[in-house]
Amino acid sequence: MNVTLTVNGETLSLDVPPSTTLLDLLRDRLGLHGTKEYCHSGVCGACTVLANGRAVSSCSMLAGQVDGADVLTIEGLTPDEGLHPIQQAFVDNFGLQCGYCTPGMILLAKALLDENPSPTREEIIRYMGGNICRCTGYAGILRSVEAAVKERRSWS
Amino acid sequence: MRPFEYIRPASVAEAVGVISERGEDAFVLGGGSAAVVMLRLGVVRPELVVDLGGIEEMRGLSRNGGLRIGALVSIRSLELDDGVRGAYPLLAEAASQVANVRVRNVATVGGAVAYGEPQTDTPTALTASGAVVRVAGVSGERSVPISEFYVGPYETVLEQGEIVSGIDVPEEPPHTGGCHVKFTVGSPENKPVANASALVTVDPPSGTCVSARVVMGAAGPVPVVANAAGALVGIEATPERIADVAAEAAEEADPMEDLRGPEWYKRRILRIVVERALTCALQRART
Repeated sequence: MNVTLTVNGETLSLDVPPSTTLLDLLRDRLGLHGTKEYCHSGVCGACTVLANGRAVSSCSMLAGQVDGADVLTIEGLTPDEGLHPIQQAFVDNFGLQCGYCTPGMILLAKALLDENPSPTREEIIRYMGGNICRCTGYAGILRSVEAAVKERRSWS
Repeated sequence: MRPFEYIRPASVAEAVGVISERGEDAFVLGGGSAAVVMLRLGVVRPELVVDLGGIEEMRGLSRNGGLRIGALVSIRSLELDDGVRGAYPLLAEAASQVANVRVRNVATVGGAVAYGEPQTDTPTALTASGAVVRVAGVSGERSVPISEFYVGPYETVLEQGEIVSGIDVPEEPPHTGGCHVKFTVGSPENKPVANASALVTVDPPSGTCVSARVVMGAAGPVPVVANAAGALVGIEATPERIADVAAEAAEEADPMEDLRGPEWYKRRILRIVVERALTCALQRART
């Protein structure tokens, strides 16, 4: 079947089997390995991408469901030079250790800040707690997102 | 994932036509948060996946006397919609506690209803709200009160070829308060050990209850309506009476042992969530 979608600003028309997930499409077809694969059940958040601005689990969506959608992955968030301010906030605040959950965490943080530019600490905890990190204990992630909120004015 | 054919019909008529024609070979996908996982695990092995996501007529969320929820309205929309938060806070509160934000962004209200999973929050709150499920089939639409919609775990009264096209929720009378309480172990995103929705209407001068409804989730094969709540009608619900009702409600439940705990534990938790939901709903009804 044919799907047309925009990935990181580039509109693509692809012929894929109907059982292809958005995650398969990104990793195997487009070689965008920044989106990670883990639980395959919408729980862990390693495969988080933004579809039409909303955070979704790319493992739990079929390619047909994103026909016409605008998808952003970690590769698209990263500028040609340097880092996006949310990425920089994670580096500066030790928001990662092994790094496997990080692309998903950063895209989830982007979705949060786009929806709510000045979330409270409680709102950050509730939102980001939906993605699983088994290294940091979340303290560094919380600090990173709080720092990104403060920086928000400079990058909007 | 096993290969399958895929279609994305544009109308309810087209969808129910193809589903009834293909019978057992067809599998219906709403938002996909449960359906895609089932496909991947091989729990279902359909020849054809019918993705309802393109049916515009099932998208609307409108208030006109009651709340009319299109089956494709996301759990996240129910959580965030200002009209729902203002007039149906019980539904918004329950929706906000479902899984994580990624799931709530794609999971649909119609899907949550049709899936028939006993361990979740939305059906509990919809049952307490007196919701009616709109069911579409090739011969037209029929309405089924949600309290009669479930037959068992993951089993509903939907016949071959039928889909949930929407859910209607009656308007809450004045001086009504609703509350949904979910109890989990581990992270709050986890499925509930038990949950309870309470919807209580009071008579302001006397402070007595005019109606009191309690529904328990993860409490049996289907959402369990607690008959014990009827004892609060016509009296002023004191903390003691609420505690009695909660203890009796927990006995009416039929929880099943699973990874979230044995039966006796779940009954204790049910007593506590019912007590909390009723106490909170009454407080909201009085203010």
